[in-house]
Amino acid sequence: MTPSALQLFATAFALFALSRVFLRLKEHQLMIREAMFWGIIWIGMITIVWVPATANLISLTLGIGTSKPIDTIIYIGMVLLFYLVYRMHAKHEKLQHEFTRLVRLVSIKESERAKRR
Amino acid sequence: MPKIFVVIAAYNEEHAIGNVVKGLRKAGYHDIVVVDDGSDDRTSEVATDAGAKVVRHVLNRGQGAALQTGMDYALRNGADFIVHFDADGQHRVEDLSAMLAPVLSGAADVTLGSRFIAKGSNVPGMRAFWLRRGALLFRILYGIRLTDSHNGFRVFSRRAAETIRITADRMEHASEIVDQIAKHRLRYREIPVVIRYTEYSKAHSSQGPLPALRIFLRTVAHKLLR
Repeated sequence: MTPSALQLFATAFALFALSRVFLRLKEHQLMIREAMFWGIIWIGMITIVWVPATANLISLTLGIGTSKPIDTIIYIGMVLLFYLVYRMHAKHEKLQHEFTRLVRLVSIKESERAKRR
Repeated sequence: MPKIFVVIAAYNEEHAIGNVVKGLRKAGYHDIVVVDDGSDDRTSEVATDAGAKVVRHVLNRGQGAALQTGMDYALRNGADFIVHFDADGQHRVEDLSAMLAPVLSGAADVTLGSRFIAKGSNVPGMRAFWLRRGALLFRILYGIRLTDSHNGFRVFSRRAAETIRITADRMEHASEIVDQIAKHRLRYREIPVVIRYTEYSKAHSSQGPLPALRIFLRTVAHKLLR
């Protein structure tokens, strides 16, 4: 079987993404749990691209139906995207909160220093 | 003599802040903390010249963040009571003694101003509509019965100020304060106050359904993501 351009492109992209995950894990910028999450995503992508029947198996397991494997991929993709948006929003909120704490600390210290002068 | 700190969050209020601070000082309130929330104008200088202590955020973090900074500053400097007062001249100094009385006597931990108990505020129609819906939402979400929402005129005892921690940086802090009053079972009272709607104050405050919806969504998001 000759691989299609899409299969090659998707595989190259997934391998590139996996290498980034590995590098970030090595630099301690990613926790093992997060690295595992992304590892499963990209390895899953490679598996489905090369063995499309895997999507059928997932469809059956999830009870979505067997007619179109692409439907399963889209459903899972949507759930993942919603989850990632939520995670990013939560992280953004946390960063904003920490940012405010920092600005507050600096402003109070500065005003107390000015009072002493 | 109890130490009463007036905390004012100010963002680009160089035209109004001077008179607000002078008015408070004239009425005998000398511990005034203006938190300049990263203004681009001369808010800090004008407030300092008028006699306030100025704490300056190097970046704009929002009204909720500025009020918490002011409360932290006041608590560190021995405040017995803390007042939240608006920077744009909407609040009247003459209402402050009535706001303080229940907290000073120990009858309440917190007082919240309401523009809907007494006549005289002349609240623009749409604003009144959304503020009343906000009060209804407080009743549903927190079980606290109020006539007004998002009225920035408040008084806290030291204990209440130490208990309440504003984590909502922007306008949704008003809901968060009510949430925490309910959660910590603080004794609260609503006090009639008059809000002066001037062209200046109207231009400086967000009105209409879209800002109200934004505040509502942020309130919900903040509660879920905290």
